[in-house]
Formats: sequence, structure tokens, C-alpha cells
Amino acid sequence: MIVSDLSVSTLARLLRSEGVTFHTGHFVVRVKSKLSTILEGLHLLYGDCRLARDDAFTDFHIELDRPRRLRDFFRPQVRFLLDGRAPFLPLPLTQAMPMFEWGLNWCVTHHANNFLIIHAAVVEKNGKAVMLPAPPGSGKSTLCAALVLRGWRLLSDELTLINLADGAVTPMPRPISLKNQSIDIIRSFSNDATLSKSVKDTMKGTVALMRPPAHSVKNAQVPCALRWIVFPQFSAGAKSAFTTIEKSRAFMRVADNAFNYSALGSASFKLLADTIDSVTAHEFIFSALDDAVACFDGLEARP
Amino acid sequence: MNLIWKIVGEESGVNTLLVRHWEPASIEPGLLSSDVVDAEYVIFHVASGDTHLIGYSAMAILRALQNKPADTDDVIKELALFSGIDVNAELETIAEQTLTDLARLGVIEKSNP
Repeated sequence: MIVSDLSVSTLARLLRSEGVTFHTGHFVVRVKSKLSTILEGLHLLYGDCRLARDDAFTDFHIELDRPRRLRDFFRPQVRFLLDGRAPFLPLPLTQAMPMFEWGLNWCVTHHANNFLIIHAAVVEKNGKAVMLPAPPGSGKSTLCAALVLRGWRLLSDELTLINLADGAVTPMPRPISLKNQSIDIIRSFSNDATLSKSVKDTMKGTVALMRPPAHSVKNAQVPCALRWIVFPQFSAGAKSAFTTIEKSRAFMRVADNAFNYSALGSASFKLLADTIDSVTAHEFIFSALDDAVACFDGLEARP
Repeated sequence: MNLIWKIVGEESGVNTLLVRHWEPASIEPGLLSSDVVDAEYVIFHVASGDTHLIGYSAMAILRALQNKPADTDDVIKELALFSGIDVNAELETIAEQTLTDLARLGVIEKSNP
């Protein structure tokens, strides 16, 4: 049974009472909230996630609520609670769903130390995964959205989880966070994109979330080996092109993009070195998404 | 007096460096680069938990210091040996600068003779 099998009224009742518990990739999350934006967001964006059994271990108990303070009558806000505690300051109420996404990312990066966690998108085709580590503003999420809208499987938009035990990428297909101009670019790119309402004036500008493809969510338990590491960079008017880079440089750049590289000590060095052994690394400059997707399809088709 | 250098954390005799090196992307796998001095190494320094990207001369010096502290003159001789060239003023300058850089990174330190 998946989240969208629940009627909206049932989902609302669960959210208001014991919470709705579902699988998102490797993790089981329980969410409680009386906020209509969370109800709408979960229904729209997490509809394909499998509901967890009552006796399933829950990794993260999350609640989003409104602080009870006088100022909230005038400027309503939302709090993110993990196990009843608020790790962050409240945000404007309109940002409830982006806050859920950012908060869940925080939960994973601070608790899932059986993985090397890299700030990177990762997609897969024909059993071969490509990781896209990049700083904000590089076009990573836009490129990731374009690839999954053209048939690549979404493993993750934001956090690449490399399993310390076997080096495989563990999927966590969750909504893709699109910012500012990328929202309209993706709307124009494909009619298949299901996007949330845009939320303005967040710390990242205007944000809209794209629903992950059902196929990606359905296969969220299927890990994949990395074949390529690609550092994307949007450059207006540029022709799409890969440039091969030295593996030693790729190692350092991936380590710089990892959340818990230092915390894992020599284990992360060995894991990342073994990962680098098995991939080729490239920089990728792009502008037009159709060309960019064609380049990735060409990369995947190489023997 | 000539300085004695040692790798930080090697008192216990345990190897404190993990090293990885990859063939340059620009040459065919299995072939030697024509310019080995451009080689880069990624090292994990167990004692500090830090990872560094270092060049050929730094790697040669760390190899010279592994399991045996050495003074600057010996390090220069080892570097010359690794590089297949005779000791000269330029090599001495490179060695001294690299020793300073490695010490600044906390990978090596001055040792009591």
C-alpha cells in the first residue's frame, strides 16, 4: 500500500493523530502535522512511497507544527521537530514543506553514518549510476530533474548515500528541489513534471518541489554501482561538453562535498578511494537541457 | 645542526599514512607518464584524520621518512635518488620548501636527534 492509496481525509486524520509512517528510500519516516500545506505536500510529492507496517522500525519521528506565541497570530511560523525537539529556528508558515525537506536532509546527514553521505544528485540508467556533486547554483538539481524526466532513474537529488559495507549507492528518491528560474525551465522542459506550488522568499529564493517519478520510488530498494562522477556547471550559452579530470582531483572534490567524510576517518578514505578506482570523472558544462541529456545518454551508451 | 624530520604519529611503528595514486587521465592505462614529476597522490594521515593532495616531491620525502626519521641532507639525497638526478641547488630548494609545507600541514614534524 502506498501513500496515495489513502484518501485525503484519511491521510489528514493520520497526520493529525498518530502520524503517517512511510518508506523513503532506506529510511522509515513518521510525520505528524495539522498543517494543510504538509497534507497537500505529502499527498502530491510522496504519493508513491510505500506505507510502513505498524511494527516497522521508524528512523525519524518528525512533527511540523505552529509555535504557540503571540507573534504567530501576526506572522505565522512553522517548527520542525525531531523526537519532540526543534533543531532549527522556526520559518514562515508558507515554507512548511521546504522545511520538511531540509529537515529530513538534516536528519539523514546527522544520523546515517553507515553511509558516506555526499552533497550530490545521483541518477541511474541500465544499472550504471552517475553522481553529480556540485555547490549551489551549479544547476545540479535542474540537470537531475531533466535527466529523470527523460528516463534516468532518480536515486537522489540532494544526498548520495554510498554504503560503507559494499560501496553501492543506496537510493533515496525524494522530491527534487528546484530554485528560482529552474522552476519555469523544468515546467517548459516537460509536461510530465509534477511540481508543488512555488514558495517565495525562502533562504534559497523561490522554491518548488518536483515529485519523483513513480518508477524511481518503486525501485527505491534497488542499489546501484557508480560508473561516473560528473561535476556539472551551468554556463549560459555554453555548448554541452565533458572534460575528463584527474582521479586525484575528483577524490578531493568529492571529499569536500561529503558531509561526514572526516567523521568516518580512514573508512571513508578507503571507501572513496575504491569508488574513485571504479569510475571515470568529468567536468560538465551545459546550458540547453536537451543537449545535456543527449550528452548523458551518449555517456551511458559508451561500452 | 641539521634538523631531524619524522612523520607525525609514527612513534608506535604503525604506518600512519594511507596512500592512493591513479594513472593520469590523459594517458592510456598501464602506460607510464612521460613526466612522472606531475604525479599526484592522495594521502590519509591517520594521526590527524586529514586527507591531502600532494605532489611527487612530497610523496618521495614521505617515503624517505617512513619508519625512519631523517635529517634534511638525507631527505635531499633520497629525493635525488627517487628522481634519478644528482643533488643540486634547485633540488635542495624544492626539498626544503616541501619539508616546510608538509610540516605546516602537520604531516611531519621536527624530531629530537
